[in-house]
Amino acid sequence: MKNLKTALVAAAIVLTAGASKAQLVDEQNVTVTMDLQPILQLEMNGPQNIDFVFDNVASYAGGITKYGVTQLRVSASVSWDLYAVGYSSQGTNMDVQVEYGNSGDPNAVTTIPCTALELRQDRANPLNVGATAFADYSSPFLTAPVGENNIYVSATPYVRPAVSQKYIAGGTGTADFVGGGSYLTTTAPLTGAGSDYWYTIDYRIVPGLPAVFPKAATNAGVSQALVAPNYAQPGVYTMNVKYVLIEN
Amino acid sequence: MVHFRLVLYFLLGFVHFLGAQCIGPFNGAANCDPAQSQLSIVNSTDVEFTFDSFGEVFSGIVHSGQTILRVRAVNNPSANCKWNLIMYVNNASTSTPNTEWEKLNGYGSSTASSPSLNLIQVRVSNACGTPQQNGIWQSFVALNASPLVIIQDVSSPGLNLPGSCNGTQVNTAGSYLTNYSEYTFTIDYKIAPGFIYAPGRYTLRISFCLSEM
Repeated sequence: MKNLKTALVAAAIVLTAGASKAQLVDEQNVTVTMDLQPILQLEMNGPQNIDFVFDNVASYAGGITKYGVTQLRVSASVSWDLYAVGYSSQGTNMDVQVEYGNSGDPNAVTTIPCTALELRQDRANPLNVGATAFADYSSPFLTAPVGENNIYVSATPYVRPAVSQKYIAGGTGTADFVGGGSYLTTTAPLTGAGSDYWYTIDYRIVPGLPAVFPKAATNAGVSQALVAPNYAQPGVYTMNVKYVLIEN
Repeated sequence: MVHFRLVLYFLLGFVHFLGAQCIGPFNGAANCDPAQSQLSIVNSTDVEFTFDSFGEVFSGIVHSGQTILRVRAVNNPSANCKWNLIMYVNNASTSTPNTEWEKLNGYGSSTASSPSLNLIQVRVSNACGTPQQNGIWQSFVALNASPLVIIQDVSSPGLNLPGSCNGTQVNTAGSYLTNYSEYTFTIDYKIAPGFIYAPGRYTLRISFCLSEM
């Protein structure tokens, strides 16, 4: 027992002697935490309400086109897709706010499809190679095939369009997207409004004469025009257009 | 009573040997009194960066004066204490690649990579300009335990006394109590992540190491 105590004392002396001759060492720590939140920022410049007033034969026959009404500007920290979707409280036909006159004509119907609205974006979709039909709204109104410029319509606007539908930018496939960035930071020659982060949208509606909306069609090119002898009942119709920016 | 003393002696010695985990450098000298010398941080040891707007992601966030370091160095009797001060980075995780931040949680569905350790920038300064890179933004090499020097005069003997306040790397006995502007260091932090990293919550550790040369 005595030997054990002696050994322990000796060991302790060695350790504490080491301490007294030790080098200076001291350390302090800082914890750095970074919360990198996904940012999808869509700015829409332009009126919230766009009115098309058809009050003469020329406007019925030739339609009304409104150029550059909406500018869409994107800033995002993640890869993204952008699509437009038309819908109403009825689903895929326009809401009837007011009917004009009291014709009682059974051929005067109020089921105007939302696809009667056509869009045109000023620059092509940067990447939507997976699209199985028209990929975007970039063709001129006058030369576009049937269905190419008609707005995508859905009663569930926040559900991402299928691969057969149009996007303004990006697409359904995971390989179809625009990378993170902003119209604020793009460099020449594709700066600002010339970049993939800025789109200017034109609108057109052609009622036709009689008003059967001959341009209305699906993205597959299937006509949704009213079938003669039906025609649109005069009145006030509304629909909602949403621009949805979504992470790829 | 004897047993109590023995246990106390053992604990004192053992704690000293376990000690801090500084990565040095060391040269074997023992001219500083480790019991009275000290490195301290006077404010919070947690630095939080929250990026929730585009401008912050693109331009970055700067936290100025987030860490204030204070040094007190005391000579052993009849000796000249010479110290150096470094900082090094570590993701503190064995399951994370040693070049990246540790990912605590991911946001969304991004498949982009985690940020690398060289994303964070630090700037060290004091009123007398004693740090080797005083007032200059620096990045760590993207690897665990990569150091950045704050004070390290490798010349021999390289004993720089306090009091001149002329930008010399003061590295001898002294204290922030008597020469505040030469024994106190202000650390600024900056992160500008840009658009290439997966959204999420990440963490890393920056260690400050005071050691004797």
